[in-house]
Amino acid sequence: MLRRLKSQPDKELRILLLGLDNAGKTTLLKKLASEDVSHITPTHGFNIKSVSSNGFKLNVWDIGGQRKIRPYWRNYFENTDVLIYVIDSSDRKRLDETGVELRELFDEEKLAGVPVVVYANKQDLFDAAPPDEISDSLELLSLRDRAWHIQACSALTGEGVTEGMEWAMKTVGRKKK
Amino acid sequence: MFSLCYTCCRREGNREAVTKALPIAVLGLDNAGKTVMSTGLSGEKDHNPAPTVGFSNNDFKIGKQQIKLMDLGGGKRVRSIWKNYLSEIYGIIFVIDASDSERVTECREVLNELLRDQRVREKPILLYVYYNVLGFHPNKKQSPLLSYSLANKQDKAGAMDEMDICTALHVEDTVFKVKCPSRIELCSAISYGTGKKVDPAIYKGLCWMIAIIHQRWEDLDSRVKRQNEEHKAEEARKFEEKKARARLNKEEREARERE
Ligand SMILES: Nc1nc2c(ncn2[C@@H]2O[C@H](COP(=O)(O)OP(=O)(O)OP(=O)(O)O)[C@@H](O)[C@H]2O)c(=O)[nH]1
Ligand SMILES: Nc1nc2c(ncn2[C@@H]2O[C@H](COP(=O)(O)OP(=O)(O)OP(=O)(O)O)[C@@H](O)[C@H]2O)c(=O)[nH]1
Ligand SMILES: [Mg+2]
Ligand SMILES: [Mg+2]
Repeated sequence: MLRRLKSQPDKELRILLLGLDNAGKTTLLKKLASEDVSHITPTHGFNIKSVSSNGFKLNVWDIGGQRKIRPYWRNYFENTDVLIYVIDSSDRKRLDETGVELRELFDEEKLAGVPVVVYANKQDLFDAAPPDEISDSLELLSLRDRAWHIQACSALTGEGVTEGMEWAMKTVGRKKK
Repeated sequence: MFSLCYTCCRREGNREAVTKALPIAVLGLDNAGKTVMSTGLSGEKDHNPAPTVGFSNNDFKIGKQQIKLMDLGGGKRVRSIWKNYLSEIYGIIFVIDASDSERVTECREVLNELLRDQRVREKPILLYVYYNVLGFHPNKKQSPLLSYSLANKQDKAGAMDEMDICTALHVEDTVFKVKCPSRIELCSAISYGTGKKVDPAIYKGLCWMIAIIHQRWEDLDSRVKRQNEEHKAEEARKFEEKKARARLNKEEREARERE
């Protein structure tokens, strides 16, 4: 698999990182770029980073998730290859809210058919909801027109982060051939 | 055999059925080989996929019939999502790794549980069975690899055939009770090619399933439509509840922040 991907170097993928505020999007982005994750502040606009992985050049867009910024998410939808949706698994009170936001994304025409990876983040915390509980409570089970994958992870420790990205690259790699 | 099967599928089927992309679910335990088979049918070669923790679609055609295979994860903690797909499907492909004799009981339980679901009743079920020994195909029963890999399980040294599998899974009774037309195919997803070059046994099984679906189209289609509507209504209701809860939570939080 890896060999096949490597033989087509530098295929660019545009990856959009969304999720509620405090979900861990910026932490995840920094972890992907192997940067320090200890001093991160809420994102008011957006961050972009390019990361090379498995012969892909991943252009990752991390958009702030605060309620007042969410209406601007739509400015970034165009040409997205993979949607990454980050969830704070320990914030059970907001699982409904994050589910509603995600459902709205699924209804967006510009994101039609785009595969989605849901990162069930903050699994290092003892009260984190397990991924199967999260996939039950999100609107993933109603999806038919796109592939989805749920990945337990901790952006802080890095656990699970690459697995989710590998799924994304495989899935999109297949489609983009 | 391949071309024979191909023509059998091209025989005029049900007119209405061929205008649709038929959803068929691929189920079975984790590591059974569902993803290898599903991607293989749609022309992809991936012999070492990551475990599926979610859902993906694989579209392809058999003769004139468009098929939409829904590949779902089979792990213990993923199986609970299966029920969300049962109302809309016209048939099930259940993949079994017959060399994994330690999990035969688990496999039987999972299959029986699945068959107990009302929405599976009278829908065709195709059991795909393969031996998870590299390069081995059930048609060549004397594979040295097989005896090698099962060396530590002397009592099970013989390869299981269709009958053994039926017996081990106790499927006959259950399948009969829920009136599911069923069929077993011994096959290999990795010893052959992809797309139209998959194991003829896989192809043959699918042809059988399509033929059944076409034969019973009116009945099956009306049942699927009804179940689908019920499922959608239920989903919509749950989503409205969720929206209401989210709103309430938000108001509470804002009130707290004002204090
Ligand atoms: N325990 C734990 N904390 C995490 C994890 N990931 C992120 N955090 C913390 O969660 C807080 C929010 O992380 P951010 O990366 O800023 O969240 P964000 O999604 O970018 O938030 P916005 O920019 O406001 O949309 C920070 O204090 C992180 O240290 C994790 O996996 N485990
Ligand atoms: N020998 C042999 N091995 C196979 C065959 N099909 C799949 N495998 C192997 O079985 C393993 C699991 O295959 P997958 O397709 O990922 O299994 P799955 O059923 O999708 O598993 P989950 O996604 O976890 O539910 C892989 O290592 C495959 O190479 C086959 O026909 N013969
Ligand atoms: Mg941020
Ligand atoms: Mg799989």
